[in-house]
Amino acid sequence: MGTVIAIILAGVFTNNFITVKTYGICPFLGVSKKTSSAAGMGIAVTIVMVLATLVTYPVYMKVMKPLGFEFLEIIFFIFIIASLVQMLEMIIKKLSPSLYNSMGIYLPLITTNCAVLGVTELVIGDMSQFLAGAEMNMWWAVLYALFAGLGFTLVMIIMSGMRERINYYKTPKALAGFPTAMITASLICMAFMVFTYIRL
Amino acid sequence: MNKYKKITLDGLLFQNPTLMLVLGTCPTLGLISSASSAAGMGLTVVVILTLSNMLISLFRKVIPNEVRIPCYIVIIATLVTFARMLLEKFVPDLYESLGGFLALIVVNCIILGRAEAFANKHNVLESAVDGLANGFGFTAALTVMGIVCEFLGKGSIFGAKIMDFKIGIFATPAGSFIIFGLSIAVFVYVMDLFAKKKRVKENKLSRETLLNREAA
Amino acid sequence: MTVKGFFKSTAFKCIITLLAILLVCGVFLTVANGFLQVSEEERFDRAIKKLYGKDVTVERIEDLSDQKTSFDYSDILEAYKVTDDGNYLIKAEGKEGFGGTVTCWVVVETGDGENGAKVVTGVKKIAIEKASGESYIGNVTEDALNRLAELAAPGKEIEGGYKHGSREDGDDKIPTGASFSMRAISNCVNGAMEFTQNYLAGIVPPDFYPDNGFIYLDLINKDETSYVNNDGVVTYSITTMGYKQAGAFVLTIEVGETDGVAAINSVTLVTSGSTAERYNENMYDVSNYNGKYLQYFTDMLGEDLACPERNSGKDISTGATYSNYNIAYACAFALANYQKCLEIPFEGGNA
Repeated sequence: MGTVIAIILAGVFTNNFITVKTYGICPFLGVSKKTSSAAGMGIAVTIVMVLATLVTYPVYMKVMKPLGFEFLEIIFFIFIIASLVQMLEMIIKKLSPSLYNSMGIYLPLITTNCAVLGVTELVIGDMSQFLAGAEMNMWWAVLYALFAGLGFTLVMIIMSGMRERINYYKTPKALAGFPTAMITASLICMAFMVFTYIRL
Repeated sequence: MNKYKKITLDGLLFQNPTLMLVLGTCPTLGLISSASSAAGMGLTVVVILTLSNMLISLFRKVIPNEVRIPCYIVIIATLVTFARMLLEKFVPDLYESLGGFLALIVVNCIILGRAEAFANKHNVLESAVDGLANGFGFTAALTVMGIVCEFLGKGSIFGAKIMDFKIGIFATPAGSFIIFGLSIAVFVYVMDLFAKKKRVKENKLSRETLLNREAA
Repeated sequence: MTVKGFFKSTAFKCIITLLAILLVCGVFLTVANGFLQVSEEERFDRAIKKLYGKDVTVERIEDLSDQKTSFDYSDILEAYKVTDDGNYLIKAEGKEGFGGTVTCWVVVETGDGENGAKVVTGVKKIAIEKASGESYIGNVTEDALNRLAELAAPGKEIEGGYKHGSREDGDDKIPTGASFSMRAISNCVNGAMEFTQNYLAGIVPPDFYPDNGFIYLDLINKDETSYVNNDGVVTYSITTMGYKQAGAFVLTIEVGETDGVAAINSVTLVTSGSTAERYNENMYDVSNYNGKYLQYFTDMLGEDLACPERNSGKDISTGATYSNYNIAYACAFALANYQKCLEIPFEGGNA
């Protein structure tokens, strides 16, 4: 139980992918103008993260490491992620054409999302600080991927909420667009810094 | 204007991938808290970007259009893996300071973006120049921001302690966001001024030519 | 589509191209990996080089089973002897950090002591290997670690950060902003020094220590204590550690079983640690302990056998509380570990 809580806290708050590790920034800046697309992107990224970890972690641990092929991890991981995104694109197109249209180019762009490749690379490394003493196995890896994705979604939604509000105000010309978004993001990061003081 | 000059200036200034196009933001925000890792990441990207551009341009007629993205990704991933091996063996300090961002170069929008937008339409030499220009544009942007951030956040430059006063926030992602946002604002503003001056000069020149032609 | 048609179609070209690229890249990387792979040994050598600042050869001390590797506040994980200069490289894990333990490499310096024997002379360098629960570990600078290494001296426990459990100022406190982490690192250094000292002197650890399941050891001098088991009656020869003004007491305590529970048969005071005659006179008569069970002592002193206030009206508050405390503690120790002593015969130690 302690491990579950440790993983939730780490994934969503203390090691949030956007505000602490600065992964997944491209969609964070690109898709966060409207809350609906931000939430949709967040959920899509979470699904890809979980599925990718589900495939890559066991293959890495059971096949690549024993055989000494760890150096092929980047090629293999990105291949799996690209295939998963392709499949997800086809499924969304079939199930909900409106969602597919609103996400536009950003759906295939999940392949180049640092957060997805980032989480698959992270879980094969040293995770002892998140596990509160337990042994690392595939289920903790998938759980971590799930909550990392949910943390990503949370920050996306927060950002989109703030950006929708900012739209109503005039900003100086030089600061319009990206600079304002960045400064907003930095405020969210500062808020999340509070969570690094949590002691279990 | 000589086309190589145009490519270089575009990559370095007018279409600077980090400050104008805002691509490849993940390693930028992650690494500018330390100037040396920022510079290191920049140089690694220069090499990988140039080689990737050259290879993709070399094979642009051979790779079918339908599978071009997977092929590009495999080539880039191979280059990144090779770079990782080299760094771990010969420059372990840089390898450790880059951390997870080294592997993430493979999904850096800059490399894939240049491959898609430029390398598969131009010859090898032009692609190489484009790779170098964009790479150095990225490096310059990252290094300058890195120096500012490290100076404010830790009071040092490239690891050498200069002053004791430091504003801790700049050593965290929050500060990186601020520096990045302000850098974009400043850079775009300067580029706009530059473009405006150029436009004014061009207008003046064409007006003079017109008047001369009428007078003649 | 005919077979020939398939071979000319774009789908086929796509698959072939992709496979070709994958194959070439795979082969290239495998060859590169053969040349550029960093082996475990090389990683270890690099870590050592970083620590030492130069290339040195180390020899691993493989068998740590007859050494004491578990101390009160630290554990020894690995030990190496540096063949170049006779120093010892110890990997220790220190407890009481901010969020857990801190693992450090400690270079323990040795020099010549009396009779040409090697002794610990100090600490050369400290490097942090793992500090996963320490949020403030970034505040522990090279300077702080170097100062800690300077302060470390054989036989003297360093307290680099805050003292165990309390916060006091002093010359040997190193303020970093990561006091608990520094405490764990200090514990690593203390453990490393003690381990090396024992190893050099060929000291075999006494069998009284928490790993064996013995409890209430804080006030017992483990090196000077022993016991003998005669058919269910355990006779202890105990030397205590002293408490505040009271010095060490040497006692012989006999423990047997009454109604299935351990009980004191007799207590004999061999050497009194009282510092003045009047304390000796005021001491609680030890014959009063005969027949008492452990319950009596834990009722009087609490489960953790703490020393009560001097005028608290307990049996041992006779005007020589600290002296009585030593004796009562020894009795509690004897009773609590009676079962253990029946199981484990006494071996080793210097009693």
